Amino acid sequence: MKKLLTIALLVFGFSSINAQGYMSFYQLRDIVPQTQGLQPAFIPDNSLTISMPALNAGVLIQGDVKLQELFSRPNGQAGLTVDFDLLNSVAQAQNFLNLDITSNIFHLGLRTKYGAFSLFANARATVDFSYGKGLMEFLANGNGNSIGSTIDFAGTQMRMEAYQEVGIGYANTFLDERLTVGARAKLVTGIFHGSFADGATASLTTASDDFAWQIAVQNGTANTAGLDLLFNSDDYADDALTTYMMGNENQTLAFDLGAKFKPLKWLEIEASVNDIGSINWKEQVRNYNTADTVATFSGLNLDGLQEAGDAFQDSLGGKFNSNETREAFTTNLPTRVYLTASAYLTERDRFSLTYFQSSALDNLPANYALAFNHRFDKFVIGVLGTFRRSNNETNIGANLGTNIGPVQLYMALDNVLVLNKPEQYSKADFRFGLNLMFGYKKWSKKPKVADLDAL
Amino acid sequence: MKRFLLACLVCATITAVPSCDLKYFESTEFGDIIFDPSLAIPVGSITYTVAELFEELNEGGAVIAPNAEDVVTLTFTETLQSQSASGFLTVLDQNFGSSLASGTNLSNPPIATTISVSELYSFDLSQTGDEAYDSILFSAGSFDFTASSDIGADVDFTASFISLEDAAGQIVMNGSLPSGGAAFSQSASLVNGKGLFHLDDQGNPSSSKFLVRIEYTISVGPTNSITADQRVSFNLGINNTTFQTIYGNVGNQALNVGEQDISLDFFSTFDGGNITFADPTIRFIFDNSFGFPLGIDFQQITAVSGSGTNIPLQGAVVDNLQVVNAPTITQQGDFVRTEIEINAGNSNIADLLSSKPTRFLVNVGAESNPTNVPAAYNFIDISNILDASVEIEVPLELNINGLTAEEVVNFTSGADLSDATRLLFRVIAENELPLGGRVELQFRDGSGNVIYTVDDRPAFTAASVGLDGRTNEVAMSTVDILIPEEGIRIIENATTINVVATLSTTDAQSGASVKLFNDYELRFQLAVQADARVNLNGN
Repeated sequence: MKKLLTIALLVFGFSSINAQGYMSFYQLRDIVPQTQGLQPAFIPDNSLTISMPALNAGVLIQGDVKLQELFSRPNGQAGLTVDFDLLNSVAQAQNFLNLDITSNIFHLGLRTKYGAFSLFANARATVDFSYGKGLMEFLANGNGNSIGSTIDFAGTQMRMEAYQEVGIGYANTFLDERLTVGARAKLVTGIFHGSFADGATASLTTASDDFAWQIAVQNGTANTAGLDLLFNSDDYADDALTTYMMGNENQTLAFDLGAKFKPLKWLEIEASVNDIGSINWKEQVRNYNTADTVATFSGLNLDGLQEAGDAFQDSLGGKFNSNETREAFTTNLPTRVYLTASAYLTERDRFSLTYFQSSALDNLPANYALAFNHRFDKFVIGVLGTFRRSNNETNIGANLGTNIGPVQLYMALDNVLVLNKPEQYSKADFRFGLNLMFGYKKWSKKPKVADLDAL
Repeated sequence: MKRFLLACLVCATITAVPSCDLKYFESTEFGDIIFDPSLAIPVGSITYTVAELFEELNEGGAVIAPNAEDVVTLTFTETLQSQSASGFLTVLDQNFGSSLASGTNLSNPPIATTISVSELYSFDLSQTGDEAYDSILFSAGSFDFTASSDIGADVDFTASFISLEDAAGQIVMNGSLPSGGAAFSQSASLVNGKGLFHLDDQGNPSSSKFLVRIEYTISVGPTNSITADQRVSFNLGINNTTFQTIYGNVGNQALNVGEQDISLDFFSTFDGGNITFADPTIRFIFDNSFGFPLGIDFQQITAVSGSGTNIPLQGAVVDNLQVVNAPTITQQGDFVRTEIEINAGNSNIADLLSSKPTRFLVNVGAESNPTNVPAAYNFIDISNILDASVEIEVPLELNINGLTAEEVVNFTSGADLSDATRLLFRVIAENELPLGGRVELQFRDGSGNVIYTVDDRPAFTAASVGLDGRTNEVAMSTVDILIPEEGIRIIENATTINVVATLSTTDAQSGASVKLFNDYELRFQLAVQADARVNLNGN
């Protein structure tokens, strides 16, 4: 039980985490109807699907540092700590930390002769953070190692948001089921958002002689929505937060598009683009702005100085023109792209190569997965290896989907190895769920040759 | 077979989690999170003018301001004891007496006979010295007159005090002295009275003469007999007077200006090394409203150095009596200022100040109507006063050669250094002064023991001086002060810092003096590179 709790803490409390692709979950394809959230062209193998409310969820975390680098244990020390020096030593030119929590609140699927309809509701929260070497260098060493040079905070991006979506989807087969095209339309309601404006940069240059600081800020705006209501709830009515989360003006219509094509009997190609759309944040908006500035700070006038701390803060702050506004802003949804090529050794055995790319942040590296799945009559299993960037470890994932009776249990992990010595890994995800599924037999293909074993 | 595989998969999945190796996170807690950056911080700058710089060495004893040449000048001012009129001069009680014989022999005349006698008397006022008064306006006092007669007949008399007036005019007393009767006695108030002593009994101008005319008549009846030597005796006194104004000549008398101990705390911060001032002065300022000139004798002006050595002021200004002027009779009520300057031309004052004195002992004598001053008509009013003050004026035109100055400053930041592991202070000096300095920092504990020393090192460089006597550059210098962790741990216990500065002016070795002009500035830019180890958990 303690291990379970520890795992739960690692999964849910891991703030520097980074998650993206649900690559293993993707491999469950037509077996699990929730995969339509990744590829709208997937059509379930049964007639009617009803998800178990609140029992379909997933967490993805992924970073560029291993857990033992983030929470290190110095020699001779019992407790864990955050060692900025260690984090700096493993930092790359650009580093990413991502977290994704997805909950399928409701899913209703209905298969037709040539396709499938779906009605769904999801809630999703993401945190995406990107930082350059400069930021970690500053956190680890201050500017003491950069006297006479510049610490560039360029590349620091942050985006966090939470939203809910309600939509319908439809997939249809063509060309004797060799081609399937699917689309989903959904009403997305943004709840919380926080991000730096595009092109937000800053740098700190420390003069070599008198250590004077030259601080340059460009596009220094942080846009938020809903966070003031969340963190300053005492300033609002008791039910304001609940009312806001249930419905507000931060709405948009978004789409998921997907297709899969089987040009050869053994080859299948899939492509999907999800979360196409943008939110115009209008309600509960706060913009924290700092005008473009190149300020030089040479210290205080020490003559008669009394409260040095306050004076230092005031003097430095006085170099910048900052304000708070409430102007609406627009953000694109973090579009996710999946491209997959699958080779069927048999009808039940499939190798897949999957590419995943998210647009949550600029230059977010892509994920790759090489998977093998075998399908039994009542379930499908698979293993896969996932990979992101040259410095990151290669992970081994697994997935399982069953259709035992009307109850479907599924789970998928991109990095099953994280369960053993998780400190050695930088990626973890877990996707699981329960569905009620009916009508398998109608769509199961009859074997062309008699099964002697069955007889 | 398929069911077996399924069972295996389910079992493997269920058992996967409990078989995890989570030792890294087991039985442990998150410990302290340590943030140990090295921060290079531009702390700030402070600019000293020459006046402000020397104000740091001054404990309020000196006024620091530019002189007419714009050279910063230290001025120490002390007020000497004032001499008041009442303390300088008092009017002695005056008592005169005489008798006036009848001059007639007459015995039992057949009819009543009247004999008249009159005499003008002139008395000299008693004085403490050689003063001679023409007149005195009294503010208090009394005039007392007594008369008696041994004449064998009744006497009626009139005493006219020519030299004395009360508020109603000349004082005249009348009375009767019956034969064999009691003596006559009468007093008059001298409040607002006036003594006129400027004429003699011949009506000629004189001084300190008190005139009184005694007249009496003798009524000799048939039963009376008088002789020529029988007489009327009288006494008069001017007692317990205070004066409002006196005219005449107060003579040659001593005035009390007093002795003064002047603290020169400015020099108390100096220790070793040499300092020579080019043009120091001591200026005595006398504001005199007495109506007579004064002679000033600088009896003793002595510089007392920190080591206790006394150097007396010498020179012509000491050898010769100095004169303080007085208002004329038409300037009554006004003050006349006389300034007497002691400088390098008339004394050895430069030697006194070069001894880095911690105090000056000033003892000044004064006398009225000195002999080396032409005689003048004197007056003195009760409101007259002699105010004396002294200004020691030290323009900072000087030569400093290795002069050591010490200043103890409180150090209360020890507790703030607990997170620091290395401190590198960088001091950048931009110096317009022709004065350079080296600095040593001595950190002291509460008992005054030096527990850590930042060794002596150049802090600011003297600027070179051009032909016009002004510096012609800004001398730049940078000094780094590195305090390692072991030093910081020691400094945490310090309560004071003794700043030991060794100062030298430009080309000090050659003996050249430099002028510290008021517009010179010394600017320090302070930066610090602080290595800190901060426990973000607050432990």
